[in-house]
Amino acid sequence: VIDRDIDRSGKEGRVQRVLVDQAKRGDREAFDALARMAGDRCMAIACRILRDADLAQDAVQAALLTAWRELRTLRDPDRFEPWLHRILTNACYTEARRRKRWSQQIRVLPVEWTYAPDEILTVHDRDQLERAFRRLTLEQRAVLVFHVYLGLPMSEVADRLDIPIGTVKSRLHNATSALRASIDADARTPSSTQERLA
Amino acid sequence: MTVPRDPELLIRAFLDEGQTVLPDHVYDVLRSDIDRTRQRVVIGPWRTPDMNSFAKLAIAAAAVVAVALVGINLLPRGSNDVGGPPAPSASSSPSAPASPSASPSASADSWHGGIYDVGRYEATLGGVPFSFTVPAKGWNSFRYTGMLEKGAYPTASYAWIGMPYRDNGVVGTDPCAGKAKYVGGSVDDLATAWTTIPGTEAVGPTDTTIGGIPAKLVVLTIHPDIACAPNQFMLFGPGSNYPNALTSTIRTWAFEKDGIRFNVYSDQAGPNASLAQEIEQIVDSISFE
Repeated sequence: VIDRDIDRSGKEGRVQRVLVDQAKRGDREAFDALARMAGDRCMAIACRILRDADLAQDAVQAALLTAWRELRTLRDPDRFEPWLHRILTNACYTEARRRKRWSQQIRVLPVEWTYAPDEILTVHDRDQLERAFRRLTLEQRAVLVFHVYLGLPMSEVADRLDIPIGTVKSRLHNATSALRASIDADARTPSSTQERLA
Repeated sequence: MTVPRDPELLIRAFLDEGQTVLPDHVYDVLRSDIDRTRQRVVIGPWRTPDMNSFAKLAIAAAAVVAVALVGINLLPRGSNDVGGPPAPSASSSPSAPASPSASPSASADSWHGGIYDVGRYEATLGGVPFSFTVPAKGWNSFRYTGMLEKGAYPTASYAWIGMPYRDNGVVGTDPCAGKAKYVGGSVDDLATAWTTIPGTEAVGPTDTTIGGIPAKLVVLTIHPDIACAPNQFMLFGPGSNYPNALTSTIRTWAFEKDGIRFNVYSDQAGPNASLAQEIEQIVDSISFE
């Protein structure tokens, strides 16, 4: 498991701390730099929760603007990234629900990822996982992304999402079970993998 | 022959795929948004447990400068002065704009940071101009915009006042856990919600006025058996105000101006009749343009 979080004791963490302090005093340039430090990671998280690059961009933009507006409520500059991620997760939920309201009749298209050539995932794997992932609740997706993709321990996921650790465990269990089931089903019935995304 | 596949590995590989770069145009739009967006003014307890060395140095420097300015002001002036620079005129002079020199790029808010002498002051917070009277010596503002303090924390002589700032409608539902809810609606709704914060005893809402505007006052005290330290008891959600002490008396006013809900807030760390009177005098003196 790779910890893709900022190493807060390292140089990046020290720079971030100084920028947060400056931005809290209203320095827009400092916040711009802060946003550029955190933006890619936010985009990666939002893309994986929402499975839609456009929605993810909107969520990240909304989250960063909220972060700017509310920055003075952040007590500990070292907690900027976890704090931002909590805002981002809520922004993802909001974007997804907003989208849901007007897209009830719209067919959901497969996500157009640019795949790096590898031998781990087949096209069928992706389709099956994509279908299963889209059936997960947003909250389950968020736990999965923070724990599996970012590599955060469950206690940190609980803190970042502001939920009890027991909830993290149950959401993770349900999410991984659903994804595992899709892989197992694929293995048992190869013909089903010919289905395309609805 | 079928190669066994590790589901965990597949799931991780699946999540590893996908976009990881935020396009440049999003930063451009964001920059434009933040140029038009003010940061919310936060009134909080003056002490910050995790205050870093930069902040400590800045506060120390500000305190030294303020003390020096007061000292200079107290020096006798006249032809007998030897070598002393002229006393600065902007510092803590009553009836002067509270923040005499906002930079062009800063918001229109203005607030005097430093020592407050007895007198009347003007300020603008959240775009709302107002004035108020400081009735006695000892008040200062070194920590937060819009925050007046007096006394030595955490003695009963300590108190702080958060001058009018926009209410965000967040009210604690489990202050030790930092949990809160959003309360919309009227000033009455907000003030009533304040009386429901667990771990507090509330008196009110009481009808009153702020600057001639009808307002609701709620007085909160803290139960001595709350399940966390006072500085972890978040009255209005994560990162919000917490009591100065278990013995704090918190007064919080809600009122509406131009369709926007505002708060005035004070926290007095312990019983002190004269301090309570000064808080009342300052709040009563608030006047809007």
